Amino acid sequence: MSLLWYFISGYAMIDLEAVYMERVLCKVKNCGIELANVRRISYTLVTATVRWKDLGRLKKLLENEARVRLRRAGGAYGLARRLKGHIALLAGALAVLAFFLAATRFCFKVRVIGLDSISEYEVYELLKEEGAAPLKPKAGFDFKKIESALWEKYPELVFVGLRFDGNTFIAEIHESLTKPELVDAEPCSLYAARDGVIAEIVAYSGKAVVSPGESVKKGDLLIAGSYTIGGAAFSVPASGYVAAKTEYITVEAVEPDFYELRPTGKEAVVRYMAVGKSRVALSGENPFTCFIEKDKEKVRLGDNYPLCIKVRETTYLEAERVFSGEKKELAVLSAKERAYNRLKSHIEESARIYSVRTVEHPDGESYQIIMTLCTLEDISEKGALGSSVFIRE
Amino acid sequence: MKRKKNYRLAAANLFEFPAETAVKGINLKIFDNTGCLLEGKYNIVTYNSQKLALNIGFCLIVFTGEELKIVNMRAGSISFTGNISKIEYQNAERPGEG
Repeated sequence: MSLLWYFISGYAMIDLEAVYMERVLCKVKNCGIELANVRRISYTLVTATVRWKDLGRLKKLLENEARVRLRRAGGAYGLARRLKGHIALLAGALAVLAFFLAATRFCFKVRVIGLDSISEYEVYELLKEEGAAPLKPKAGFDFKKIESALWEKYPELVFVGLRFDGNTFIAEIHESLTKPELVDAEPCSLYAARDGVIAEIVAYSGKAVVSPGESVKKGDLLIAGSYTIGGAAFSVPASGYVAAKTEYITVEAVEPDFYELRPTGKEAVVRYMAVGKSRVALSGENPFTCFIEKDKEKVRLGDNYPLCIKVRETTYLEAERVFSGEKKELAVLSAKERAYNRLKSHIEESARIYSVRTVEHPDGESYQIIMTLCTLEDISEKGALGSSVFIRE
Repeated sequence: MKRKKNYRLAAANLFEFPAETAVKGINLKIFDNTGCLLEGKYNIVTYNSQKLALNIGFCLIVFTGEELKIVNMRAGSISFTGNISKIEYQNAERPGEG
């Protein structure tokens, strides 16, 4: 600690030259001047470290008895001595110091912490409106005003804490806990929402009236909320998990574009002039009914003028329609994809798809895809309590 | 050498105070053989890298060793480091300066 204090207050490393060294040391000590790192170099020479503020006193005290030579200045004293000869460096150091001192008076960042459901951005915007924004002086932050604005806008809060952590303004806000949703305690039964084959049934409350492997139709009772056991009648809100295998079917038409154009070898060339949007035929005509067209520019005039003239040449290749297996495959695949996406949109997210069957059905010129999607899903839905079910003990 | 009876020390013993709070003598702390701190009134009689002799009023205390270096020296205390080989009390034949 004392070394640190030495550095901060500044120190000087000196050479003391005297004949009666012990006497000199005693005199220095008795005058209240503290010496450190005293080392005897020779009979007449001692090196020591003394505080900067004591150096003048020491020199004056030993004016007639010893010679005091400054060997090196350290700490703040040394820094001051070095900076004395370099005004620009001194000014720079002072400017940096002033900048840092000024920077401590400003807020550079605003943080909102502790929120769950309320948007942090909304709160941030509110803080900004109340003057708590980055790059503003800390003195301008009115904590009471900000706090009351927060309470006013969000009365459900339970804690609002505002503080500065260095250059960061922190708004710690806690919301009250949300009330848990009350469970519906009305007695009811569970019914099938779709046709299917029961795969698994677990009754949390109520009595299961179907078992795995049984086929059920839409509206069939699955778990009874009203039942009688040994003469005692019960009415409970039925709940449970009823997984059933169900099927979704759709029909999708395949686009009948299975043909491609193949050139026969005959061709005709037509030239025309294009001026702006209008076209003027120059030579040739297209004699083919089924053809492939290739157009290319031959001449272009007046590129840099408002009216550009182009001469273009179109080559017509006579073609015949030929059946393409590849195009058919692509059309079928596209139809399958559409069918699958359509079925998927009807299925619940929790449902598990365990098989997909596709049948291709040619119907004259047209072509159809019949897709069946088999799923395993919870088909139970709540309904009226219904008549009491008798269950044997 | 016979010291005069120290009444302050006797009073401290009576009230069970630590001796260093009552007496006006010196308090010497030695760190192994590498350093030493002496608190109390003293005067330097001899100092070089092999020997440091301090007048502590009723006698001389002489530290002998190698590379003795005074780490801190002020009116009420002195601390030094080095390889201390011997600490010896001697008659204060010559009172200290100051």
